[in-house]
Amino acid sequence: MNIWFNVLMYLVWFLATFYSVYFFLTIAVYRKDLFEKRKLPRSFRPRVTFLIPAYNEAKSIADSLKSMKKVTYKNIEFIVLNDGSKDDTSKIVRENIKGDDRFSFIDNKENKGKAGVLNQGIKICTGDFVACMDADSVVEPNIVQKVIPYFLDEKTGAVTVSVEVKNPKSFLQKAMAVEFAIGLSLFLKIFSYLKCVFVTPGPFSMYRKSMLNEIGGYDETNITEDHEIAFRVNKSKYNIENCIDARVYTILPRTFKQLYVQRRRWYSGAIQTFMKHRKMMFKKESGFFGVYIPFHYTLIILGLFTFLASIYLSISRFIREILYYQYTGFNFFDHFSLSLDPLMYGRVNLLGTSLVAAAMILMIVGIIVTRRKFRNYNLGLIGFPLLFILYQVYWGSAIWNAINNKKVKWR
Amino acid sequence: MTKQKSVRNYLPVIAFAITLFLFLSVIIIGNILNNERQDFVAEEMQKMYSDFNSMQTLSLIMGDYDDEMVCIAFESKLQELDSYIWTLAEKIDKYRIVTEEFQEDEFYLKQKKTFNENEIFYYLMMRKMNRQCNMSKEPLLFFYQNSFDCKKCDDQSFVLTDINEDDDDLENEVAIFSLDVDLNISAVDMMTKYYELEEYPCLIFSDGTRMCGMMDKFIIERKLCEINPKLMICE
Repeated sequence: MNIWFNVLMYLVWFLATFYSVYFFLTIAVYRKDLFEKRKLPRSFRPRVTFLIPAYNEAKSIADSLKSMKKVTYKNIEFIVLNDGSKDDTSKIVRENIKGDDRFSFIDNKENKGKAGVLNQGIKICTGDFVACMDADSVVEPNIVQKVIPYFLDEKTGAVTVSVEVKNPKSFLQKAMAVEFAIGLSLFLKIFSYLKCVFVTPGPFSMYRKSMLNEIGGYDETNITEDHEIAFRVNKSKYNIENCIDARVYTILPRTFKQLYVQRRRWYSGAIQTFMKHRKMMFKKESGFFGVYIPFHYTLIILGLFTFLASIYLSISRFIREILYYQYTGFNFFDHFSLSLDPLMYGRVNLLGTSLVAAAMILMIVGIIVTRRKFRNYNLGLIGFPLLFILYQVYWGSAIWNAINNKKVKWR
Repeated sequence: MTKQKSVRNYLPVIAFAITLFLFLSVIIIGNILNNERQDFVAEEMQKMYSDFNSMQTLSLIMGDYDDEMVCIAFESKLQELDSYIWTLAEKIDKYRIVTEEFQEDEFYLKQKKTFNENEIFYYLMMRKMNRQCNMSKEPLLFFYQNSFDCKKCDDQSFVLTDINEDDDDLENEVAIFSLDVDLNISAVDMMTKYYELEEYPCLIFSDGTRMCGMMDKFIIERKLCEINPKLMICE
């Protein structure tokens, strides 16, 4: 009888189920509005600036620039900001933007960091609205027309879009494609309804420039500037909206090592941001955001403890059972049988199974309501649940780094 | 939008209510499974009582009727009983672990106690019939404590399960009786005093040999074969 593990399991189950149910209910309430198309009035054609920071993006920036050239919105400028790249980024940018006067290029020789060059761009840009975009991402031609109407509401400070995976090839990328379809598409939409969007994704997010000036642009000391800025947008009383219908396609890590580097930064940045803005929590003026964020992280931490406890219990049991066999001459297969006793299924097993079922339902609902096709996600649907295990490892690593005051670099 | 807004305000309450409902459903399903487990154990225990009664009857009629016939009937009953008695003891322990989440379950404690008492009865009956019917059933007593106080008791139990399974595959010639010394059963207490047991796990063989501490499968089998070389596991 592992009383503490059982207590933890019950607690996590209750919080996670509440979270899932709340989420499903919100989807049900807003299901008809998810893909609501906002019209762009003729009188509203504000100037838009795209800021594209680039560091060693020689392999991918050409595709990105090509997609920008196809953007059909007229009143627009593109500013590419080299962040001291050591590869041919600068040369490729110059070749690709030649002859297109919508583009300008700032070739910084020194590395300022992503937030640093974005702030540089914010200072010099002429747009009323600023779209910050990663240099390895590709946008739809009509993305601005889809996004800009959201800013007709003066309270809208930022608009996020659906972040899609560009050409997912590896098993990992396919699993992450499902993760993004849910996490960086449907979740962002639902969070926008609940007024608790806590990230304006780096691949593409558009901001009201006056708001950026008000809040002081990006935090150059933060390793997840797109996460941190979302906290300050919420603090500033502006809303973050989501246009689920607009899409940006981004390149994802191919290997587990690359994914680890990315997530270690994301999760370490999340801890850094939370600590910086902890005073926002449970404050009336922070609204639902101030309640949701602590709930979210409590669930993550409890989930991590449950995961670690399960791993510990499973491994110790496995080792114990293996050690038993030393007394019987390691006759593993002498009495091997696959018979299952359904009565060995206790309440804790029921709780665990129902949580896995909820994650699967969430995945299926996510694919359906975001109008995607299951056949595009075949392998990803199998891989997505496995990502939950990796999340725990990455969160564990990030928390460990935070406890040990170890600094995590952007790259 | 206004309607949505008003619905939105109630969402946390509705979500909480649904979560509570799901939680209660899990509790109820858990209780149903607990009851199923208890029913299973109770049913098996009932079967055991009934077999014991038959054996008792057979032992009482011995002498008045054809002894050979009684011995054959008795041996067959023992064979039958032996095939599930160890499994039943294991099930009681396993079901108890699954059921007990926050506190000890009285049902399983009670069942375990009754089971142990009956095991002693079965053991004594078997010894008697071994003498009277010249049967070659080899009894083995296993005294154990809870895993907190006795670090090797679970290991020993695993080994005995393995020997029991080997024996089940053959002729069911070895009858292993597991006796929990923590249950304060007077007969078990008396036996521990009789055999002067102080450390656990402890095994008592039919020739009175006492082996305390962790014993591997081969030591136990060697001893069993030394006592009774005709056992199938010795071949």
